[in-house]
Amino acid sequence: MEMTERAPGGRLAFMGRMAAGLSHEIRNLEAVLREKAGLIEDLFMMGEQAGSADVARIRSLTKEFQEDLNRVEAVTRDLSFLAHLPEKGSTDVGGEDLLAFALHRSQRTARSRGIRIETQVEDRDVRLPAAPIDALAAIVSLLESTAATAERESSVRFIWQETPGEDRMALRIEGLSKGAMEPAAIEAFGPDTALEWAPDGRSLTLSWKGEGAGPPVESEE
Amino acid sequence: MDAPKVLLVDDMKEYSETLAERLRLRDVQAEVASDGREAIERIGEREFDMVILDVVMPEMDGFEVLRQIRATHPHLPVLMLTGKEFSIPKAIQSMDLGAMDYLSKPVPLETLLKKIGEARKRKAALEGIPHG
Repeated sequence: MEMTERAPGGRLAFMGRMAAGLSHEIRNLEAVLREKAGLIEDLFMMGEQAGSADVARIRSLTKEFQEDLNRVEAVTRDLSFLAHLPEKGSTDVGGEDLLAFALHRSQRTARSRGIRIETQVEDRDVRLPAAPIDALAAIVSLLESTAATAERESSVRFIWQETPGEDRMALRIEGLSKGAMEPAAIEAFGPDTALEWAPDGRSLTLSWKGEGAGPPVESEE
Repeated sequence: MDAPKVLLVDDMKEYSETLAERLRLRDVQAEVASDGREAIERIGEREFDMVILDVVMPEMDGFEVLRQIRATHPHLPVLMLTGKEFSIPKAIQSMDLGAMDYLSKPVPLETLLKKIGEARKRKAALEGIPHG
């Protein structure tokens, strides 16, 4: 399966878009950390002038600092995951890893619309519908579309599963706005992926053959 | 002279709230809004001397918010902030839409305080001009 023909702009454009988003996030976190460091300095300076500092506020800021650093670590982990993905074969990466990455990337839009996105893995041996980088592009597209189209203040669940009795793997999405999903997000999964909407139009299942993806992507070097 | 009133608009509330706290320690009346819709509502409700507006926000981006502010408050100084790399085309777009400046985060507090001072002067000067 060749995702280059399916993903708008191809793999390189996808990698570039993801890297730009991640670097934007790092810059934002850097700005937050700088302001918090500045605020700690302000509070110390004012404390020196007044004879006593607001210790409780300084303590809470240093705690927040640790949490922000954990977020920086999570973003850099995503960046590293993305950078090494083209080298990986379909058996080297779990579906849950792809879903976790896509979830982080769509969280900003989802949060702004009050949408809670949960992920669930019923089958840890899920085989991907394409080489990992291509599968990731499709899953990111799906989650971004969901974050943009699901009803405000709703909950959406993404579930990896094996279709019982059949040699097919599936990604089921529950809690969608009725029938709402941008066609491009589904097309990114390619022609070998079967689609099935639930009668109420709020749940969509994407499934593909269990033998999974093609060979790992060859390096372009 | 009364304290300057500034509205900080950013979906990254941790950034705007920390910045607002630092500005308040310097006698600036700083408020925060977490998206464009909330910002437009606040601007309609009370008077500000300046708006500090993030460019990248989900749903309504900073340029759209700026357009809407300009339609109702032509003299309100707006400073655009971006968490992305500084871009000359985006800076030009901001100026074309009537922003007073376009800066990349993080902005040193001294620079921001200077911009707030400039904004007050600019607003006072513009509002002194009789409407044609």
